Amino acid sequence: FLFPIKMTSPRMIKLTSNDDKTFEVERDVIKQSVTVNTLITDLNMDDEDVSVENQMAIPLPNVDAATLEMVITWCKQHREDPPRNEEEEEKKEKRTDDIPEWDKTFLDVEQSVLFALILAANYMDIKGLLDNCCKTVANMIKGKTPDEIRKHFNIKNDFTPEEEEQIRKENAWCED
Amino acid sequence: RTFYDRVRKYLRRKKTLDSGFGTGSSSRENVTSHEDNKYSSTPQLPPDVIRHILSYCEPDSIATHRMISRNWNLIVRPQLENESISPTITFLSIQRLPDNIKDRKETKKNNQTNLFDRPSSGRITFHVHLEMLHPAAHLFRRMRNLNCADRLVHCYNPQDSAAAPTSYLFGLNVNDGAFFRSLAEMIKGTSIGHVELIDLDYSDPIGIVRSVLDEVTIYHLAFRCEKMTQIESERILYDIRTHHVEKTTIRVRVDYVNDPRSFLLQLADSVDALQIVQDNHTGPNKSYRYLFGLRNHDWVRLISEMFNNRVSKIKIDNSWYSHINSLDETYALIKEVARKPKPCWLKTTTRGGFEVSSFKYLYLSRTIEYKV
Repeated sequence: FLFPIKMTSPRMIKLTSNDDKTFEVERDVIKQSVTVNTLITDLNMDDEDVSVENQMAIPLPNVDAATLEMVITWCKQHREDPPRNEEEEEKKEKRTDDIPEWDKTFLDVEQSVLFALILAANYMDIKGLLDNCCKTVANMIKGKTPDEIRKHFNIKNDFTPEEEEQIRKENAWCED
Repeated sequence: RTFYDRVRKYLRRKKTLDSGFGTGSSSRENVTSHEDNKYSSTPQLPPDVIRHILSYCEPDSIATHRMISRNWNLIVRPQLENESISPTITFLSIQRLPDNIKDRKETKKNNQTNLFDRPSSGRITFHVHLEMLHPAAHLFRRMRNLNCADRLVHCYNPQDSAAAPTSYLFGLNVNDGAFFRSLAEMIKGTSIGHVELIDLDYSDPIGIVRSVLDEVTIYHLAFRCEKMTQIESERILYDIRTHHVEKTTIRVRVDYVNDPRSFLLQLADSVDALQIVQDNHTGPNKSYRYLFGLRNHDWVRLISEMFNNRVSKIKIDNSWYSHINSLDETYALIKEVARKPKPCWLKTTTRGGFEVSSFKYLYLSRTIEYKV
């Protein structure tokens, strides 16, 4: 017996950035975003009767088009990654030297772009991307003095001399 | 329109959630205020993200991060406080070594360099064993301030032999007052899972050693002593109440408590779980003694009364001081405890070869384990 093989194209989801640019992305790719995944499930968007043309786009008011494009690229690259076990992740040693090579290159961008990616990953709840972005920033911070960190991230030292002295005293017991 | 309303509602709800990792935070909490942010092209990161980034930095760098700005200090400080509160010290044991053993060692191994065998002007020697869950930054630094390199007998990491040590064993004599003061400073304000005080009595200057624990919260406080005097029993009650202890273990060989009934009832009123072990007494005054001298039916009545207090879990091992007649008492005790309105857990071991299964009493909605 021969059964007709139903050729199914991958299920697509529409995402709209805060500057009104719409992206079509495969359902399997975007499932890495807990926020989008929850929305799709809660709003019954997995219903196969609705074609992509008739489908409503999911608005992402906190993410601009350039960042969203990068997020989608990252998700495509990591679509085959095994699902994360958060309990095991918690137990893991916190390391920053285990960022995959592809991610290292991908995240070698301007600081403002990296921060925008962090915010998007945090908002869209993509833990893998957030972890690797945070590790990249942590590598920038490591080994720097407070003054160097301030300069690097352009943070103003808003302590009064008294406050600074107080913190120095509090830190005294843990200094060599 | 309905679809977008639902989406917006969901996203609004998500935005207002502020329950840690993976959720957005209000702009009010951002690291730098708008007027201070000269670097307008760099988006500001919410505190939970900054905490996540800093979690990848060395624990020692907390002090550096606090110095960056007011907001960074506000973000990092709770981490520091949490570390102080969490029981990073899992176990602390202070043991007074028997003087005669020390003397014997000194005589036999006079030439050895083992710390315990060194002659000291004070005759009292201590053994301090400290275990940490992980060497938290502040404890690790304070540890270094102990200046204890010459007193350290052994250190290791039970989880990973190649990692930084988390278990430390010190050998000290009574003249090491500076060590004990530093130890007190190191563990000040922490919460310790299990503290064991072995053979510490009241003679000065052991009081100083004991005061190491003055500002510590303890979950399980264990006492082990050869002879429990009335003063020692009072100090035990004082320690339990001072440190908000939830569970206590008392292991004694001989007791000289004036009013054991009152002592045990006060104990039962101070902790949730109580374990009493009466070790084998081989001295000339050996006699059958139940629970510090209480005998027969009193023993049953007393345990029943103890369950009227705070305690809900009691384990008693007095097998060395009981006999086969205690079987009758066992049945009486089970009936008595089973009538209690609150769930009670009792496990007791006495001499003999008879065992009563607990499941028979499960219909009373509590578990009683009993071995004879």
